[in-house]
Amino acid sequence: MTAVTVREPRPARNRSRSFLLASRIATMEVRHSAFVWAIPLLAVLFVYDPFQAAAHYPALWNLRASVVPDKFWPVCVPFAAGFSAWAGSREGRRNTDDLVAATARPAWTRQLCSLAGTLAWVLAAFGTGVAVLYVSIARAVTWGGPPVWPIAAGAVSLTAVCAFAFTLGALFPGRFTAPIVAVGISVLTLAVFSRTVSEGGTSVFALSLDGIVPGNDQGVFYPVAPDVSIVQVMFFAGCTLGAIGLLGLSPRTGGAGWRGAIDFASGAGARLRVAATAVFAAGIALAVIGFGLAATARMSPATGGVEVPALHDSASDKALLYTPVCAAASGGFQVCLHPAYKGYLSQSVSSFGPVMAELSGLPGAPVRAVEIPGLAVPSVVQQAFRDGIVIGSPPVYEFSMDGAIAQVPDPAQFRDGFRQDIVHAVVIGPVGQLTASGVLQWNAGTQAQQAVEDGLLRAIGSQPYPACNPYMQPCAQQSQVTAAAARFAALPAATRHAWLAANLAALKAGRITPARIP
Amino acid sequence: MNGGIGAGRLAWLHLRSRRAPAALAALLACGVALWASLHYHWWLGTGNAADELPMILQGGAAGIIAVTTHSPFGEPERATGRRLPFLRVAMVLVLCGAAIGFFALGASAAYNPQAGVYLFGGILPVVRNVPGMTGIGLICCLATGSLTAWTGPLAFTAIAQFALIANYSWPITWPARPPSDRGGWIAAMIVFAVGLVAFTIRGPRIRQSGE
Repeated sequence: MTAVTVREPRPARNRSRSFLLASRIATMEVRHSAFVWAIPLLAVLFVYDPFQAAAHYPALWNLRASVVPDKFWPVCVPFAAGFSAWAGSREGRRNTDDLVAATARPAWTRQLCSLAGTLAWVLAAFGTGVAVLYVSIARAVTWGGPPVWPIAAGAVSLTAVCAFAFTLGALFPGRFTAPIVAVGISVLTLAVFSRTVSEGGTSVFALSLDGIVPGNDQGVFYPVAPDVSIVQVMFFAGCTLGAIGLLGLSPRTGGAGWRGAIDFASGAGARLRVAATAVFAAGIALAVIGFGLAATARMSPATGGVEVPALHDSASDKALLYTPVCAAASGGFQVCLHPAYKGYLSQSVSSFGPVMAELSGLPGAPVRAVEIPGLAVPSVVQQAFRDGIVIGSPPVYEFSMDGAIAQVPDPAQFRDGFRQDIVHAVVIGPVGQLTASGVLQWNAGTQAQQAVEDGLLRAIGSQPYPACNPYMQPCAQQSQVTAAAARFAALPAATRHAWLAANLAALKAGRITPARIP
Repeated sequence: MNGGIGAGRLAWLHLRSRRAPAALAALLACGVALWASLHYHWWLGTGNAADELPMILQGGAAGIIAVTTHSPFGEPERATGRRLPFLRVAMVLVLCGAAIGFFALGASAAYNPQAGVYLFGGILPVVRNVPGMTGIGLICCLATGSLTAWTGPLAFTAIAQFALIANYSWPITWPARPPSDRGGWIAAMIVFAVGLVAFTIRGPRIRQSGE
């Protein structure tokens, strides 16, 4: 006798029917998701902070879009985590484990549908917020295009938050799970954010979406490398797969169990176990690779952005081509800006007009003003927190809008910054110099130079040069300087100009005292 | 004597039915998290931003207290006698006190002024914020049921965080106000009193699903 093992014919699976069933469950989960109750609140929070913050930033694509990872994403995280944990803990919380254990479909399918129900609302809320924000930005900016990678990173990271919180909810069901997970993940993101700020967004802290507000020039003169976003997508996609795989494997969540996870020929649930194991392993591998790549993230000296060497395409570091937008101030003084700052051209022209009317024709007075990248501004000027420098022959005022426009633009600060730079350069000279150890030594000028400088600035309605800065000049000497400055400012413009034309060389040489200033 | 034992047993059973021991453990975890956040410098700066993390933890504690009010017995429990309102108010007060105590312990354990490690604003903001946020949770549990009442303190924490960063100074966002600010204290205590009285009288909303 020979024993013959007859394999029973495998029932033909109707894949389309399985898919329909899963999509029907997912639709039910979407309809019953508790997250929908959080959407009005998220909308209020969105308008309250990210939208308003973006509206107050200078109208630049990358700067305004930075509110998506910096402000909108942190708003979404606690709610996504809390409601996902709430959904994940449902079966355990309601003690229906035994009831649903006998269903025809694996627990994994059921749970993934439940996760999809919450995730769909989370991503819909995130996507809607981003769309509203980007439309409002598109209506305000004058140059460039929307950054897409941060949106992808935000969506994938929210997916990871949902998957992780859902798995925690399924593993530890209870009434306290949802608030603890929500608060725990919020604390984690805030703690990582604080380190990200202190580390400048480099090394592993590049994985944090919530980081430093970028400078105005980001993406204006050089393209923003997608390296960090790619690493973030890898890491969070890995975390998502790891959490989903864990959900499918853990017996606590009704999964296939860990035993025999590597054994493809193990008993019941073998196919499920293999699939869950593969998803889990792929997720962990992806997360580890993402983490490892993030550890190499560094600041690029060429573009000022953060780059990941293994992913970085140095060809993308080339400066972006653009045609400057120019306009003439009074007396034909030409001001040229990057087209991204076109909205500030008239404001710039009106800033330069009065100061050039006072100084035009004097030795060392610039003949035009040109915007340059913030990175190209000399270190001494950056350390002094000035906007630019008068350089070359014929002299040109080269300035950066990176520091000239504050995050919440202040027209007076914007106007006075340029005027102070030019007056200081013409009357006194360079802002200062750096020592061998890189410490800034300010060039405050003589008292007479300060008096003329402040008198000129006062005459054109600007704040005096910050000479009372403790690094520059003791404030005790101010009264003498202030009196001379007031006298000089009270002169008619033509008299001032004539006096400067006659005495500027002696003033710069330090041969004039405050008493000799008319 | 028997009356005292009976009352004590009733209180203990009430606390157990509400998972109060687990709530205490969770509140203790919040205190430990505060200690860790101070000790390991998880906060940002020394100004308003330094208050963000303690505020989130206080919101979390309030959420835990709100969730603890869930009754597994539902409607039938309300017909058992006149002591239920007293048990409700006592439990909330005990848990609020415990939360404040755990936060104070965490902050004092981490206290190291030489290293610049201390709770920004001292313990006064904790004493104001925890009851105030708990009041929001209690009001929320009247509307949504206890198990989802954590959403109220969580949402309020998010609003208060923005108020803190943006330097808003409405009394209603009291966690963003200075520790000694009278308006903030009044707003927080009114919300707590309203929530506590309403919860004591009505109890949490009971849903048909049991949640």
